[in-house]
Amino acid sequence: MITFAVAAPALSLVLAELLARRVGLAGRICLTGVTLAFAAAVGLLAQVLIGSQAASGAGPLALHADRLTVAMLLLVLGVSALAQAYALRNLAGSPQQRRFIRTTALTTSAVALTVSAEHLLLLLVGWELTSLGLLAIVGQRRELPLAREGLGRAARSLLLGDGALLLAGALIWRSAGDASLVQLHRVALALAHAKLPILLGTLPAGPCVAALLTVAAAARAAQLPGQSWLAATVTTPTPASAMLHAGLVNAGGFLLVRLAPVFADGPTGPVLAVTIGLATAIYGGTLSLSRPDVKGSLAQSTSAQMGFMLMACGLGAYAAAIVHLIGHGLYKASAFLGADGAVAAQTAKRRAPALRSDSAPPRGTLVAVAVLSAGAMAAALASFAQVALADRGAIVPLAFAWAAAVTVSSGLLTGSRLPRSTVLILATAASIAYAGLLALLTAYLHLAAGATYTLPLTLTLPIIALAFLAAWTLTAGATGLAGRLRARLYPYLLDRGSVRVRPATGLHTRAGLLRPAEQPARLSEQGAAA
Amino acid sequence: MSASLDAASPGTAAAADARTALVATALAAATAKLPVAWPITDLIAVNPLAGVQEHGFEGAVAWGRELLGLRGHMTLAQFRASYDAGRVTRADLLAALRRRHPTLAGAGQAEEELLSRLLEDLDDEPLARPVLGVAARLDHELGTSVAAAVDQEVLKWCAAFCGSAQAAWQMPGRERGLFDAWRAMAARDPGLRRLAAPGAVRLIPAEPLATIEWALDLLAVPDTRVERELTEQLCRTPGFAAHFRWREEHPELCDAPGGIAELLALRLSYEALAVSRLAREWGIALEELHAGGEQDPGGRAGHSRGGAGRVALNPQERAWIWLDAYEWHYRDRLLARLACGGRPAGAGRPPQTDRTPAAQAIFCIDTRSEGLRRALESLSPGRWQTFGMAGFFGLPVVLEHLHSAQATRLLPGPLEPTAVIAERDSGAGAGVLARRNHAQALATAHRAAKASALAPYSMAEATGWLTGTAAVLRTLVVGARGGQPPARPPLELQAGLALAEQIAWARFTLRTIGLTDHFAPVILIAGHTSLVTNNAYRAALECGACGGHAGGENARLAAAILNDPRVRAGLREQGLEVPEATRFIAAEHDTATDTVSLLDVGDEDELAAVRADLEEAGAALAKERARLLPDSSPPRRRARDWAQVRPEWGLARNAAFIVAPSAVLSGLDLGCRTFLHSYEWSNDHDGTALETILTAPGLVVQWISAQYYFSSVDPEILGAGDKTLHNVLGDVGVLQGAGGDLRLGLPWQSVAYGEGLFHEPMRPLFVVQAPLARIDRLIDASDLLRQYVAGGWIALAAREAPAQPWQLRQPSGGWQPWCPAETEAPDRSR
Repeated sequence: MITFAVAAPALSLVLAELLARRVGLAGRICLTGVTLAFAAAVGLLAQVLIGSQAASGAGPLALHADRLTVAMLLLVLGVSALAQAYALRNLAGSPQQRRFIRTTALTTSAVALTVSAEHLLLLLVGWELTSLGLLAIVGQRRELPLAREGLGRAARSLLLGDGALLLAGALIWRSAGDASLVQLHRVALALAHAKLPILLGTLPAGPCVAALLTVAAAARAAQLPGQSWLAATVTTPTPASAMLHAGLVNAGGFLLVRLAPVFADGPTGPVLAVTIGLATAIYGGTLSLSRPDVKGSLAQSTSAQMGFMLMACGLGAYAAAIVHLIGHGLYKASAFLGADGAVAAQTAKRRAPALRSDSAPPRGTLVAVAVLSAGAMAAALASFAQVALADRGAIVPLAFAWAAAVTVSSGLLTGSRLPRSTVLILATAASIAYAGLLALLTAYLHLAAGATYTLPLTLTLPIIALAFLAAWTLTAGATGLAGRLRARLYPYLLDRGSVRVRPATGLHTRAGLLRPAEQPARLSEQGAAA
Repeated sequence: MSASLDAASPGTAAAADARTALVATALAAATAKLPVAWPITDLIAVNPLAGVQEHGFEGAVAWGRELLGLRGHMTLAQFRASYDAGRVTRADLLAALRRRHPTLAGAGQAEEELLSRLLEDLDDEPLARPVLGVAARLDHELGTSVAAAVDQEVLKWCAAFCGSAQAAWQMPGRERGLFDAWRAMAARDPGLRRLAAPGAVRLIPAEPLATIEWALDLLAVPDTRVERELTEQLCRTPGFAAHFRWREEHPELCDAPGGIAELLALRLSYEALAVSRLAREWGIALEELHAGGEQDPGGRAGHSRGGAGRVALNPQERAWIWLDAYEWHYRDRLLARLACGGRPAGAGRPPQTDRTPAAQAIFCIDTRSEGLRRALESLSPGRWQTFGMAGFFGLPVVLEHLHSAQATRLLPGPLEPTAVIAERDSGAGAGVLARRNHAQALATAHRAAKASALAPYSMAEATGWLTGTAAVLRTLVVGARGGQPPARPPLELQAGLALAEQIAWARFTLRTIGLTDHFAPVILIAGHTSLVTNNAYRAALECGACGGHAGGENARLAAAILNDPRVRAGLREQGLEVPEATRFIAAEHDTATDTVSLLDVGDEDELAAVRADLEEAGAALAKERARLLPDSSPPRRRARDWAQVRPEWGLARNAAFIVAPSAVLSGLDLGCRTFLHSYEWSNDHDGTALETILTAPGLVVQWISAQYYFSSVDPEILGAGDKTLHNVLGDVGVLQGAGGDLRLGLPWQSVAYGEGLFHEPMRPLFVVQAPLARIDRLIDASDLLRQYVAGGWIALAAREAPAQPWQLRQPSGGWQPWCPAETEAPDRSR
């Protein structure tokens, strides 16, 4: 069944290429293939829920499906099916439709392979194939300069990240010999004792591998410093964007969760992941707010969201990272597919009744919302949702959920004539539901990450809190100090958020333009004549 | 020394004043040539070359070629393919050749030669990318890319300024206008630091006009080139330039000031600083560049018309001949069918009799109304009689929404509103208000969460499960349209349109369309809308006469006025007797699904038959349209499908405008390609009505036609390109992908399927049934009509009565009898 789930999308493409001359039929065959693969993943879900693991083959080429694999398969195959079904009508008649069908089918299989690999070698193969697929998806319209720009940036970032991953793989191979993903603790142990001879001295292998893995995950997840590639890839058809943002960029989170015993064998990986994730969450989030175009804003927000996911990984909140990865994937896929609705939303805004004159939300109600939802969440965590706190780092996503409940309630109280009690009840229910969801998925994923290193929360929590508090202050008001600061930052944010095509010929640089020696003949003659 | 300075200063001051005046004049002239792009929420079709329409169609295309890189027509290969498909015949080509080169008549040998050249020589005139502006010309010489770099900075700021409706963080200071806000931040702009010498930003003057002048001086643009230079600068980003031209013309609709001067000042600041730095580093004197690069604008326009039998056919002229043949192939057939209209033609529907029909309906002139009118009239002989007029029904109004500070303009773009109508929160309005309040609560909460530093993470996580599920359902199970659309809030006339004006409007309208007797008991006034989903170009499918919005509200107002007993009494006094029993009913035709909903009525039994007829006719039309739409998805499903880029074909294939009594059309299937305006010239003693029709709806027809034409032939320049790449910018328009210029026109998917055009790019044929002398008088009196006819923007055919043959108005004046190409044997000279 696991082999089928992995191979069906690609095999259906082979079938489509053989049988279907009409592109619409080819698309339907591939959609059927991925849908069947999704059905197989549902079957696998039943299997892992009753406790057994599905596996096929042995050695480096073996596939297996544990609970994490099944969760990832359901997301990726589901999103792929959604994008393909959407594209059947959305790209109908487009000369690039066949390109989309091919790249999506193959890439889907590549991701499925990555998440189902039992052995590091196969995971690396899957990862590299996915990278190629990602570039193909980004380059659907490579004849356009803007699309080529995005493709180039993505290629450079992925080259760096994938290089890091391959190097990490080689180091693991060298230190541990074998690298079966079901026995990673053995790998971690071997790495802990291995030293790498570098130039004159030696480096401990464990931290090096952890850092390399983090770099690989960060590159795929569009993190700082190579963050700009994702926003530059908007010049691709809508369903391709949906696939990219919901099914490909989040593989970084999966990588760290899957390799957690190696990634978090010491502080190096987690510290790096939290640093990069935190920085990107704030940077990308701020860029997203300043973007005037719908898809540009969505792309920057993905970067920030992936930062949040990496941060959760670094904090050891692996289940929360996977919850975020799935929830955000679904959110972003639908946001891209419905992006044209932004115009209707503007028209609706015009019809919308004016806000009440007392448009500031009632402070008392807001305090009540904050207290009640925090209390409700705490009660849930103390009772039926206890398991959500199995990873201590999960306290961070929970705190964010509480903040979101308060923010949304504030928005509801500002904009509507909804009764305050309704908002209060909604916020409380949402807080309980979130704790429940996290508990449910933590229990389901059942990740045995307990043995790994966890960052001391007493140190990290204040840093994270301070960073986000600063960002929140900046976003909270358009006037006063925050407003002035925003105005100062704005030209920089706008510049970083805009996608510029690198000119093909002789770009002037800051230092100088072209060397006068290269002055073309015609002007020199003109100059001489004058 | 001081003496010499004193002596020089008056002269210098005078020279400076002269330069300032020159720049101001050049700015106005350059602005007037630009297209006007309405925001996408109120998208109205425009002729993108309207600013240069006085040069005639071919001259305007030549202008566009030089400045925008337009082709301006289908490729010769496309024309040849239409010949192979029988869409153009040999006779059409021959007739076109003779029309464009009258001196050829009789020279049979030469004609044959030319014809074979037309058919065989399919190499288009090569299109060069225009080199626009000082920086670009310098780049051209040096191999640098300063101009493109300047473009990107300008696009960056334009997007920030115009797209603010979408951004959580607006451009600081934008309420002071683009230039002022930008200037306040320019020193911190990394883009300017990349391009300009350090500290140069301090040189930029504070006023837009002064900045333009300063920059032109820095660029050493001579007086003779100023207008040309400004035009070129604007044409580097035609999309935003067109949007800023709209801002300049409609400051009352903008939330921040700023017009073309601001845009140019911003652009020229970058250009001047970058170029002067480049010139300094290279040691180039810019004056030489201007001396070397002078070109006569429009010098290459036009075509050569040689002596008898000696015609040089350059690729451009070949294309115009092909276009002429392509257009007249269609027009000949249309005129031939209209010639026998009004008389029974075989098995078609019977002619209208003197009997009073069971129901009448007034529709918009929109091409899509033709299908529904035809379907209704062919239900049963004489049961339905239909009319056409502009879909705002002559009532340019502003609609105030329930408790909203904003309003919607329901009127054609060039008009000013004459009345204000408002939604009331009584009756059905209460429910509508509650729904809008809830929708707004959700939207506000969503916006607040997205704009916060803390909330987006958990919000995405939590709502993802819901929106993801919804996305799957919307993709797999495309919802069937459920039941009746919700009732609308009652309307109230708030200002304007006093009773006397209402009576005058009613009389004028009814007499113009020829509805003065035989009133049916039920008369529908049907506006139209297009209820599509997830479509940025919805406004382009809505009623253009209502400003890119649904036409139902105008119809409701029209029906209310015509049902008002005081108006009826007023009409009676003026000799227009509308029977007591006659009831006007507002309706709205959804062109995506071909359903018609009746507005402001209950479930009366007397309307059951009307509803049944509308349902039957709508279903027939939907079936007919389904045959033209690609893939098998039926129209009523497409409208609800969020993945659908082509919910309907809209006004694609529009080709003609018929101004004549409704009876002329009976028995004819015009294939949803014609705009139809009912007109009874005998009721229009002084020609006012005809003047209005030709200059107002006529203008709209020409604009729509031009929008479709140029979106088809130049999809990357005057069209919006591939819809699946679109990225909505604020509430103003779309970008293609991650950036670039604002897109003009319509998406490729609106005019084509795959690589093949569905729309047939042609200039419209106006067909008028009215005395020729009256038409001549109107053309003489109107600059617009003269430019249209003499410039070849439209073709005009007319006759006074159905029994007479069609006469064609010649561009140079005068009329000639219509003589279809097919009847002329190629060897028979006239």
